[in-house]
Amino acid sequence: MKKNFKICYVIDLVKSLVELFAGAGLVLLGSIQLSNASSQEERLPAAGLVLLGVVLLAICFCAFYWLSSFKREHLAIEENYDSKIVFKYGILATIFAQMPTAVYSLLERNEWEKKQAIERPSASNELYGEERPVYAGGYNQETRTIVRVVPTRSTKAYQTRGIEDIGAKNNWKGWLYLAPVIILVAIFLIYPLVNTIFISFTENYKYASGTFDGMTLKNFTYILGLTDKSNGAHEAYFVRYAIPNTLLLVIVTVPVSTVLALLIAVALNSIKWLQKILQTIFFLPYVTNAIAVGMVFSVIFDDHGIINYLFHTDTVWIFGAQQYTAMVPLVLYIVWSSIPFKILIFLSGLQGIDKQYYQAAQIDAAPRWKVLTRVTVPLLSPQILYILITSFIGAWKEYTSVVGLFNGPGTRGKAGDPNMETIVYYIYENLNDNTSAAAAAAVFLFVIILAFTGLQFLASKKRVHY
Amino acid sequence: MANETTKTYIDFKNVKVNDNIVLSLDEAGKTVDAIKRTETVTRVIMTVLTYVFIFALALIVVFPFYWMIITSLKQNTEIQDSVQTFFPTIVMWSNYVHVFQVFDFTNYMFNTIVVAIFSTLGTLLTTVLAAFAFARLKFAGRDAVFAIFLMTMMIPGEMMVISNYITVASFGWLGKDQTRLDAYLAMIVPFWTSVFYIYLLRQNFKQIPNELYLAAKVDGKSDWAFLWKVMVPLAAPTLISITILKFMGTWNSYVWPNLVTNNSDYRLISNGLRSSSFVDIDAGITEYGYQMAATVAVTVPLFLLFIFFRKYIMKGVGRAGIKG
Repeated sequence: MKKNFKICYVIDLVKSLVELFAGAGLVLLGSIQLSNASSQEERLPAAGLVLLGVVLLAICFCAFYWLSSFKREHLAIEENYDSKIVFKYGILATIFAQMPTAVYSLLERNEWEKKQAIERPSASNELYGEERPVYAGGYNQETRTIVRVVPTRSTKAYQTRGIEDIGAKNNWKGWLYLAPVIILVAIFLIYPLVNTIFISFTENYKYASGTFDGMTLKNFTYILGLTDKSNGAHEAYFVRYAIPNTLLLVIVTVPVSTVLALLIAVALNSIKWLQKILQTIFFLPYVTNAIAVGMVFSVIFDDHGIINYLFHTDTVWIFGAQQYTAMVPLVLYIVWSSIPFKILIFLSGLQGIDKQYYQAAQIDAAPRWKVLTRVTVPLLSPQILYILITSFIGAWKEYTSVVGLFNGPGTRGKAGDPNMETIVYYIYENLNDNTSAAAAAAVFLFVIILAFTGLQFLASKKRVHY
Repeated sequence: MANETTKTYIDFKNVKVNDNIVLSLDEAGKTVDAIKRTETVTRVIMTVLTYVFIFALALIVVFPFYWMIITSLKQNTEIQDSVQTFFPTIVMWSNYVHVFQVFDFTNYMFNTIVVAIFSTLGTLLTTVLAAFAFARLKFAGRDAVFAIFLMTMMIPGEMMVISNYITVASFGWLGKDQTRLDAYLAMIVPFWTSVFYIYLLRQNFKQIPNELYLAAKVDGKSDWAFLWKVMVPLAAPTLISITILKFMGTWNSYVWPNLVTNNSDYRLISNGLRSSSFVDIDAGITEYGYQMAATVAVTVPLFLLFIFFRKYIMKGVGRAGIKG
């Protein structure tokens, strides 16, 4: 069965690839003709070619999509047999231009199903590796009880699980296995941590020579605006821009994206039709290049862009914008790019909730929003807590979104103030010329993140909250 | 009151218990069929509303991708026009031709793939070895080292960048006479280890039953042979997830390559994309069509990766929860 299926799969794959190339070729050919066409009569057949190519491409992508699901389900049969799923995907694969091979695999499936009905492995086989013994027993008429003879614990064959493996005790070779990691961690993780904290207490650290003018606490007072520095005003930007911007992002993006992701996840979980495809669509923002999509957002929010056109405004959102106007596209972009991961976590949490809770709520005729707030959210609280804390930490470290959108620390390019700077942006900006201040900012960030991580540890110790 | 109590039935619609409490039942007086009908109607309405909500949000999620592709096929005059079009009036495939001439895509791609392959290989090797030691071998100090490793996960990466920059410079990989090899080393070596992946793989290794190890011992296999012949094949899904996430991380990495390379020829794809200016020198305006064509060229490989490895990516992300 498996071997035959593999043949089907390879045939399908080759077919889809041919479709892919044919479709792409037709689109290219048609569009070249289209761009050369001078009259309406010439344009029509060219447009037809493009259309045909697009249809071929669409079929091929559908085939790819279903092929992957089809294969997965087929291979999963061995572990967990579910004929309904296989049948569903078999039908869909047939529809999507997989006619001959899908029919073949469906026939194959029937054959296989028959065989399985005879020698279907029981759960105990997988666990204990041997046939489950048929226990003696029956109904005792006199005492009116069901009698079942069960082996005592000591006779169980699978108790080897708990055996200590003596051969591996105090194995000095363990250090050999660990050696590469320990060296790398020491050089690139532990030493930098200590060194950065050290630099944050030095005055005018020069990274090229490693020299400095003695120890001081002033770096922290400079960046936190407690004392003014006479020369080099750059330290002041930390309090003026980096902290407020970062705080704003933390306060706005975390709740908005979490609530949105929760709603989407609940909605996705409650539907059946198109669920898988929609789930994939909502995951798409995760598999993108942060810089590339930031640039797309800056085109969307351009002065002549689609947003201004749709809403009949002429707001300057990106280049040359006011600080808080420019926050709007930034927040939207961060929310857009951060929901996929949250939806994924929430969905896996939702799928783990026992259906009985919802049946009980249905019997009590609880309204939907009450089911959401009284059943779903409390039962999902471990995932919500995890998401909240990781996204808080992530929001404190926002950086690439700013680079992608604004191509610099501010909305006015190099001339203006770095009014879109975040804490991390501040660290990278000052790395070269202002190493001590950058180190102090990094330590500041470290302390905040440490506090949040500590919070996570505390919260996870107190078990779930319902 | 006396009149009411003499009634033969109680009107549940409005039962007065005392002056303060009013008990009313909404469904009183309705037949079972009527209740069922209202339930069906509410269910249909809720389903429709759910789909409307999901489709609206899905449109918003997909829109930037759509706009990226559409803009990449437009003329710049059309992009800057006061009337925006949802499909290009003239399809400009020449934008792509132009971008591949101006934007050194192949070079950046080559750099990114070299860095991705070698940093992934190094990470896989160190991760497999360390995870095996933590999961299977027993030696004094193992748990202490593991605890220290776990604690380093709390340190934000930004904390390390400053000192790592200095460290890499002291290795002689930076500076004016930086060669291509130096640049690659500076981008690869610091990322040869990931505590999180060690943790992930250790959990996976721990699930592999002890009997296999004992059986291998009985057959006279060494730890080393057991690791590569049994453990690694069994943990293949996790290793594939790690590989893909690492590749995606390299594809997305921006800060570190930007810092440690002097020559823009040595940089990675994100740096190339952001630093390339698609400005028409004569007109002095940004050519958004070219810019978007370049972003499409950068995004498409990731999408292809996603189409083919959807299962591993979604599973790996679900467990790892980090990018790169």
